[in-house]
Amino acid sequence: MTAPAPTTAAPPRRFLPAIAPHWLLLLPSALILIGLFGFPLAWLAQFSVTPPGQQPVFLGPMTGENYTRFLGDVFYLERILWTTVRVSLLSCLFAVLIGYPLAFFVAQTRNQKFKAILIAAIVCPLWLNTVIRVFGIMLLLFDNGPVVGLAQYIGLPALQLLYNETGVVIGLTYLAIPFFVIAMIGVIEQIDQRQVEAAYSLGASGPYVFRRVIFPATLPGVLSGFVLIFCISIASFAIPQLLGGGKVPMLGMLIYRTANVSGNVAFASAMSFILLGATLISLAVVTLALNRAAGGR
Amino acid sequence: MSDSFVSVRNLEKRYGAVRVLKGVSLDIKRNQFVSLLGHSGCGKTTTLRIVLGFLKADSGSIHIDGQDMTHVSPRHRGIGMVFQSYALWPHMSVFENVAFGLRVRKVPEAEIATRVTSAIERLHLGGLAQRTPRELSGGQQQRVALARALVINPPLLLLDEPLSNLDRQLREDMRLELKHLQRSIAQTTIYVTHDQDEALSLSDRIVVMNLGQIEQQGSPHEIYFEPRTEFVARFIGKATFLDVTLDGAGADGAARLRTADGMEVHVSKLRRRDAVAHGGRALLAVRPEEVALASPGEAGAMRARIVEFLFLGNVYRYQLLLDNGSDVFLDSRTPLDGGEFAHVRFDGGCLVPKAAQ
Repeated sequence: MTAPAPTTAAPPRRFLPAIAPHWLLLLPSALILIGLFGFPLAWLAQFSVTPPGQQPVFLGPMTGENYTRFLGDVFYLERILWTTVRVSLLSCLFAVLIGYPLAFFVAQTRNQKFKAILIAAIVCPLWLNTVIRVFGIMLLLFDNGPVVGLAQYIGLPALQLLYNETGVVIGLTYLAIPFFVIAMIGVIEQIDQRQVEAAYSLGASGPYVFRRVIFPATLPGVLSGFVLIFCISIASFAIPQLLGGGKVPMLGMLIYRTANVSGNVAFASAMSFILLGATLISLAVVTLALNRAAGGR
Repeated sequence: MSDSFVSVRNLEKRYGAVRVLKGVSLDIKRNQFVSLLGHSGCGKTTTLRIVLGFLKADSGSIHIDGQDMTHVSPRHRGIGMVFQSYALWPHMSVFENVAFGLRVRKVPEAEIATRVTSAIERLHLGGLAQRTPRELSGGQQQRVALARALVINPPLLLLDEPLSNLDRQLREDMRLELKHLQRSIAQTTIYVTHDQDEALSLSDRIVVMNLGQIEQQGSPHEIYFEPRTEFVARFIGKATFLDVTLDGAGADGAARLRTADGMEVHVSKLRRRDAVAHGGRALLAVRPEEVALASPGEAGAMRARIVEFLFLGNVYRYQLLLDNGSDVFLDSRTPLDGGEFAHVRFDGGCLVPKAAQ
């Protein structure tokens, strides 16, 4: 009988031969990160504090004007920032609500062939370009399209599913589901079956076991999955542009337009950092809320 | 059947073409501590999981306290279970882990507090109630798992190799503690283990399993001193084995045996002499502590070549070679005097039917 390691023990350290000094292993990725992320980010920061109408100079003249223009204006805060956060949160919430049961189903599938087919079906939308997929969705959600037609047929009022927030949420949810499901399958598969059995043997019902044992055990996975899809959603600009018809002002889209259409790179850079801040704050709030939900009974 | 509290009848289980349980039946009296002992793969864990309800037997039945549990779901069997890996919930405190079964039963909060606290105290976990399992040592986690299973006052407690994840010293301490606990609360228990020392020291009764069948069940004393099959004799403890035929017997339990190659062997106290008919072939099993040093001329003394010895702490275990080439194991408190040969005699031994080839 092979004994699993006690839960207190640290995972055994894998012994690998020293193929190179330890720090050397980090070098390629560090170079990539510094060169392609750190350096541009620093440049972007410099852009964002460049006074309007001036050329950016590294460590040159600085101003907070670009930030105050956004943060001091209720229009930007409410109409843009809040819309961005709300639409992203909403679509990620739907992605979690749809993706979690799906991931659960896949993780519990015993037949390995069926499981592989399921995973392929979940992943295969990612093989297609986003724009192409979005056009597919547009064909479905069109005013005279099949979804609206079906809704009318079963007696629902005429739906407007395109060129508004609904359309953007549908698109972002659709985009996020595969990422979330793939992240969750592994997490759910790793639930300690004995912990579940222990709860059953103590008399707990299925829903009770789920609420008190299974969901808390998957919570770290839900969180990291949520972080992943939230970052994708909040920064998206193609979907609000296409499915929102430009009428759902999300920050990513606005940044793109400000930089590439209006040419105001400084303001676009400031908005980029505001987006980054909003992402981090939203994630912190979601993390706290989820942890509290799992802690309580 | 009438006085058995837990009654398992003719369990059969197959995985594809492999029969993992071949008609296992068990009767356990109220408050009895029974061990299922065997190698991994002998079917003991399968039996346990069927009793627990997480595995369905192909046929057979399970009754607990007169109630047919064969088709009852695990959550309604009320069995307390301690897993080998403890299976504590890492996101709950010790208190919440232990309280789980009571909360499920909608026990009033005040009663939960008293019962959980007393269970925690009883298992020497006082002061740790608000810790999480990760902050506890292996032995402490083990005790939390026990407290969690016991707090619901289960009619039956199942323990699956509960000590195998602990280091040796702690294992021995926990063994004593388990024994003490069992005495003080009189809990009907099935204990699954591959460790014969645990089974021998803890159990009221041991059920030795092999290849999906029960080889022998009996008190630890019976299992150790009167093995009924070759498997049990070889599995439990160390012994010297000789192929013999029963040659003659004295009135006081002494017996004269003859090995297959004609060597005469005397045993002062032969147990289970009726295991084979007179003149029939059998296996003689002699425990190391039943082999004694003899003086050369003594009746029943056999010359043996000293091959090797192991210092086990409390004894020296010698491997000797009889003239016919058979190994003999002898425990001695002191090292044997120098010299290539020693003389030994068998003060006891047990006859075991030969396993069918």
